[in-house]
Amino acid sequence: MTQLLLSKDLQKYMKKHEHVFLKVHSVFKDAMNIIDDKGNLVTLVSPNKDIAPMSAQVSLGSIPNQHLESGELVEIDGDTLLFPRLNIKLNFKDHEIWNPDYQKRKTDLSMNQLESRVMALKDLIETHGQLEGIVELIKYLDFSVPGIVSTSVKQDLNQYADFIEERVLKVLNLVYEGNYELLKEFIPRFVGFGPGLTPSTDDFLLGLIISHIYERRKRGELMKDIYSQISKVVESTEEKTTKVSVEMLKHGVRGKVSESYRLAVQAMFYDVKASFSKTCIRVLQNGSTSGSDYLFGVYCYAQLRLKWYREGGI
Amino acid sequence: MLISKEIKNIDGVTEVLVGMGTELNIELTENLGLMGPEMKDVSPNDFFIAADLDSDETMALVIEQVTQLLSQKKAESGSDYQPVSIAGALDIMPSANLAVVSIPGQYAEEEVSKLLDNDLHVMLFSDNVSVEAELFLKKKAVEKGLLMMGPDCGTAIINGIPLAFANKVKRGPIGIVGASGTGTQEVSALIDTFGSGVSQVIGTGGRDLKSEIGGLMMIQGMQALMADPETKVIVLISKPPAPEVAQKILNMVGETQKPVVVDFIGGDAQMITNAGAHPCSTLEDAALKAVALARGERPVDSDGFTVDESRVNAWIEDAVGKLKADQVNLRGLYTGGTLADEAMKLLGSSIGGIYSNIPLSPEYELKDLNNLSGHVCLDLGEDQFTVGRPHPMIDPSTRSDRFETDIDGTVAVCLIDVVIGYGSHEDPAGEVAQSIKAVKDKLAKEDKSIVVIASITGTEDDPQGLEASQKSLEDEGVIVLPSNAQAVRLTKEIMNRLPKS
Repeated sequence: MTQLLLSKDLQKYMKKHEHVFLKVHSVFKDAMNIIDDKGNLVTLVSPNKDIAPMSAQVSLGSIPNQHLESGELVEIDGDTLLFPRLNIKLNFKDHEIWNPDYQKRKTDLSMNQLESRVMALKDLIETHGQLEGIVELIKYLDFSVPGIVSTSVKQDLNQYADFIEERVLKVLNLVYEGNYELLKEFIPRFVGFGPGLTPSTDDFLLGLIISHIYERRKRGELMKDIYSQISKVVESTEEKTTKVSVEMLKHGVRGKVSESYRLAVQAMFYDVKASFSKTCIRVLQNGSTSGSDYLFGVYCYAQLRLKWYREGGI
Repeated sequence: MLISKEIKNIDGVTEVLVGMGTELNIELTENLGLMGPEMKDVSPNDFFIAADLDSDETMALVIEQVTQLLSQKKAESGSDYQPVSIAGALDIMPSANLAVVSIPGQYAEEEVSKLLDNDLHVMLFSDNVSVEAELFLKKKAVEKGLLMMGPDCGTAIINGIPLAFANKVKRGPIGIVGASGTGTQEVSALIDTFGSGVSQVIGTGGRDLKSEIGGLMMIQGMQALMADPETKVIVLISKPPAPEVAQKILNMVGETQKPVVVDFIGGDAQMITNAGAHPCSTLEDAALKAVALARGERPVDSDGFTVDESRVNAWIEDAVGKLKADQVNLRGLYTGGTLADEAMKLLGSSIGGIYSNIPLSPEYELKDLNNLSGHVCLDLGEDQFTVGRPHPMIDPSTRSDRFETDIDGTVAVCLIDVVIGYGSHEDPAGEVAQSIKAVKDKLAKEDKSIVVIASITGTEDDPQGLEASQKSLEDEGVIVLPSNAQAVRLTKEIMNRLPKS
């Protein structure tokens, strides 16, 4: 039997609130979002799905979710979650606690190793990823020209990639320059684009953010310093994208992502034993485009890291 | 495929965009010429469909199709329904007759009891189950004519289906009841290598043949194999049982016409012979005798090498020649407990005392696992090494770490097992090869080398592949023998040519 998991931040939330009412926000095959009146989003996922920040694994099979509707009342009472209308109770007392925080791994990668991982990731995204959205740009991004990220000659980009190309370049160049003030101003014109409940640019931005945190922490920077630098970047996303994305990015700037996303970024920047391709393919299977968009962000950040190194920067 | 793209395939649809009503998605809608007055009221948390199409009927079709695509996922959720209770599971699969249980040990008694009440055989993977609970559950199983394999049962092959840690073994006439996980894997895999196969492999859990349990499941398993028309030869595997339990089991040999091969690893061979069964000196010997009997041949003792003698001699000479005078110690780094135990028993006192976390006698119990000297053989699957990390057959990093800490310039021979098959790491041989390379590089700085001798427990049909695993090891200079017994014999020959530790 699978040991069900409860994220540490959700456990903390439940302890703090003891008794609180929430509402069903959205329902999917293997996941369900519920939300409180302050906008805090709690996610319930099937045991076969990734645990993520503010989430718990539950046997969703026990809930006839095709009968659940947006706005349906949900109650948290101690360590029990109730769906009063359906008379269903889920207890988290015996759940194992999963910590979504940043986790350092033992051994770093050399620049040569990072370079080969970057190439491998590009191959994996192009082979297994969803290229019908913004990720199509991966084919044309050029990190080799000193001082700038550009694109090479393109042919017939899909409508999403075509629309967002210039803005992706702008974001990458601002990250490359370390200009977080301008990035903060620009982000509202970048987030919220693309298909899905977490639009593509938001997943892409998450990939950049998590890579930035893991890469900087690896080199000894303190989490609080990294946080103070990047948290402002996502401050102004509130009205510009979906509620689910806003919450995802808020967790992201604290280094908190779902387990498979975390494993992938660790596999990118650390010498881990897990199979790199399997770890990435698992992420690529996530959502319609979400996993691909996220790894596209990880890929771009790793390319920037190599670029900084090549060009005599950090 | 994206919903927008799928919808665009509908006849009569020229352009379509489906998404959340964020500013940028609305901007794209406008760029595509799909803006309508309704769009001004859409917010980032609203879902919208904007389309350029030829008729109201097509729009209705689009809405229907989008709704279907979105709700498809919900409808599919029934297909991976995960029952929250045994009753729920039996409701959806009433024909199930075996359950694998892997839950924290303290809850196992109640859940397994429910399964037995529902007439299901049980494989209980969990450990930390009390002896009292084990006895209660096994008595209940016996009363109902069921198997209760375990607790801490890691290996079984039932009707050709490998459960937990098991190898892809051909089906055949040999039935095994085993109280030792890797011992059972070694015998079943070798049976496959020798060209035969297994009918059933029944695990009992390691405590079954102790006085407190009385061999209830080995007896139950043996009775099942005696009654099974597919089984022509029965093999029993266990560490030495309590004498009265051994006697009870051996008494059953007289109740069957089927030949019985017994490997009570290091147990009383005469007692087995007196019972009319075939005793064995090693796990490999058990496999060879079982295969011979299944073919109607007379079983013979095997205590040598199946590889060419000149090759063995060359290995020995080469090993002795490359070691320095102060390299005199043995390190056994095993992931399989029974294989480690067999190694120590076969080496006996011939090379001097061997310290271990599972010593053959108490005076050789390792007091400090982090400060090794002399000859040492470790079972890395024991609790001391698995707290907070998976079993080393799943996660080879435990052994990788020990390679770093336990191999120094005094070590002459490192003896290892590599267990492949279901449940094991995807490439244990590749992982250990990396560790060996690292340790060789380390020793090279002292102008030293090391002899690494291995055996692989597995079959060619295992996911990792026997041949591929062997190649990974041999590419790193490891001497690979066809069985643990032969690997130990070669180790003994080399160690006996070296100055005493």
